[in-house]
Amino acid sequence: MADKNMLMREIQEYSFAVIEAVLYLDTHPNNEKALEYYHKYSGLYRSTVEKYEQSFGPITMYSVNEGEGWQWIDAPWPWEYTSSSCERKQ
Amino acid sequence: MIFESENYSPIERVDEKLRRRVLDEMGRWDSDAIPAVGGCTSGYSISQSCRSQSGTGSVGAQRTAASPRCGYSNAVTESGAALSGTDEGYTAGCTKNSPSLAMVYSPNQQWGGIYCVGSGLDNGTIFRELNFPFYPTPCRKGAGYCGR
Repeated sequence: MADKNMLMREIQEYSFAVIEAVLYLDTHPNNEKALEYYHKYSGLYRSTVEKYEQSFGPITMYSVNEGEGWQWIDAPWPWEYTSSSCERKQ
Repeated sequence: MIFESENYSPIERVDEKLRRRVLDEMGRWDSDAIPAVGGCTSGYSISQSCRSQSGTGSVGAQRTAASPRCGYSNAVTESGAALSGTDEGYTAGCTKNSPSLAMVYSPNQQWGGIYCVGSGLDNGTIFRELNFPFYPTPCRKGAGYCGR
């Protein structure tokens, strides 16, 4: 489960980095360093999400693989998380 | 918003008419006080007596164009017409019982000083220059700056 939490943390970091780059690019649309940064971290975001979902199920409702059954309800509901991790409460 | 030059200050962006009106309200209506358009002159500043008394002053490097006369009643609109009675209490550049309005600008942000992604998430910004943690302590360790 350490892996799961670590991957989720990575996803959150990449996601936030992309948001920041997007905000910067809104006012500096031609900045090459910012574009490069966006490219790098949006790519890492996508690949890390894919990696996470392959092992631990869908993060958003758009990536449910319904061919393997309705996985959306397999993960804990929001009120079932403990405060510090993605573990299900006992 | 894309400006022809990223380095124009507000005083350089306003037209001649508005500039003269602002300076007139400031009681600085003499040609020597009008800064040249296109140049970053240092002559455009407001003396202490012109500042709003209840205001806390400008923040950082901001230059403010505040009207000194919050009590004056002959307020005019931009077109020069006297204000109607419905604007009672209004005085040019000021709101009732508050510091006068100001025109502010901020220098354009440059890319650089980027935190690593982990520190970015922890600090709420990936930009070191925008990291102003509002904690009631003088400084905070572990910002984790990862270099440019």
